[in-house]
Amino acid sequence: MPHRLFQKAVATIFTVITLGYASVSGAHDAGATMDLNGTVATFTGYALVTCFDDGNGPTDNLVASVKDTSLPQDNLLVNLQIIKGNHAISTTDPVSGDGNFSPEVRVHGGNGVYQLLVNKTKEGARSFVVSYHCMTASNAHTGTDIVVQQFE
Amino acid sequence: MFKTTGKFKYRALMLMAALGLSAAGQSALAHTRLKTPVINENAAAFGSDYNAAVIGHGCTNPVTGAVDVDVIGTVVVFPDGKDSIITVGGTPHTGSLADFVTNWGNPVTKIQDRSIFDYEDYIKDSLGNKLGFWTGGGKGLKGGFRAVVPFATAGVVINEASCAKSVTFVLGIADICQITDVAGINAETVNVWAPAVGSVYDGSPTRHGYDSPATLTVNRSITPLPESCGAGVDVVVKPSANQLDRDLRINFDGKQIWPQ
Repeated sequence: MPHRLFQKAVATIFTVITLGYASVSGAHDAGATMDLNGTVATFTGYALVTCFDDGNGPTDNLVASVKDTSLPQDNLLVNLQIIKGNHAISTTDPVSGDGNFSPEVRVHGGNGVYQLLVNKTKEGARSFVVSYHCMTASNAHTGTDIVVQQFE
Repeated sequence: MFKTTGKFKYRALMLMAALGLSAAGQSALAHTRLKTPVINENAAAFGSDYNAAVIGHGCTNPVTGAVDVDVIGTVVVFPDGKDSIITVGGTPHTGSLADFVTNWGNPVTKIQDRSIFDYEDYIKDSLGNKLGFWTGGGKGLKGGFRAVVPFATAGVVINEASCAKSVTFVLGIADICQITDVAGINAETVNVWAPAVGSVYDGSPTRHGYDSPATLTVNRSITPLPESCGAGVDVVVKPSANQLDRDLRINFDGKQIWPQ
């Protein structure tokens, strides 16, 4: 009887679950919507990306880019920054909603933990996708993990 | 065909009895633990450490006293590192986990497996980080057998400036044999393997498995200890009572299935 109860409880409500928060996939793309109500100019997404040797070789750099998937709005653009140790870099998607990512940026920090930030130029909801990959010196993809620290 | 003599039957019965006793003895000792309880820092091949929760036995049969009642689901939760209880060499630490680990927060990836249970999903924090998982339904784990519930853990990076020579994460696990509310949790319905931190899952100190959680120890293996650290310290991270109350449960599509 307990089996049937469990089965019934799960099966009867089995549907595709849609997530309202930052969705992190194993494909090293993460998408979400910043500032849903359009009132927070300081909205910042903050994650830690851990780079490691997954058998493809040690990390040379973290490469990342950001794509603003919302409709264009004057002076409202999405930025991405990478920081590790004493090195930092930034990129901006110059055209919202065109389906193209920003120029890629890299920080050459080897294996370890990189800070990755996403923010925007003023208040307004922005849906976006971040692409992030730890790469070896020969530009092979290597171990990449992410932890979201903040999304507000 | 076998010709069963009285002597053969007697020996067979003795052997069966011995095997039964042996199995019971092993079951009694086999708390739910991780298959690989000690790993190195962020150094495993292919990024993650492939691991598993090993369910050692079922719940208590009220008639026989044997721990062989079928398990219909299990829940596994890691400390979130936010309001976790941290000790350093046994002494409470009032700072944050970042003092010892620089990348904690999204520790587990379930390896899909329907060999025992049909359904599974993650237990996530409000940011989408995966703190644990549940799996249940289907045929379940038959009493007298063990289950290996596979998952992977993300690489852990120990703060190179810290004196931590190891960091041990204490898990909360519940092996469910019968769906009840919190008041109905006892040895006949659920085996709880969680630290006694004041959560609703603590139970009585006389309960089988009281304050006997599974652990994952990460040994420092990337950066050397600073010279000033001497032999270094062992850090232990337990989930808070608040986190266990919030996360050690099965929610499915907005509906809580266990505890009811």
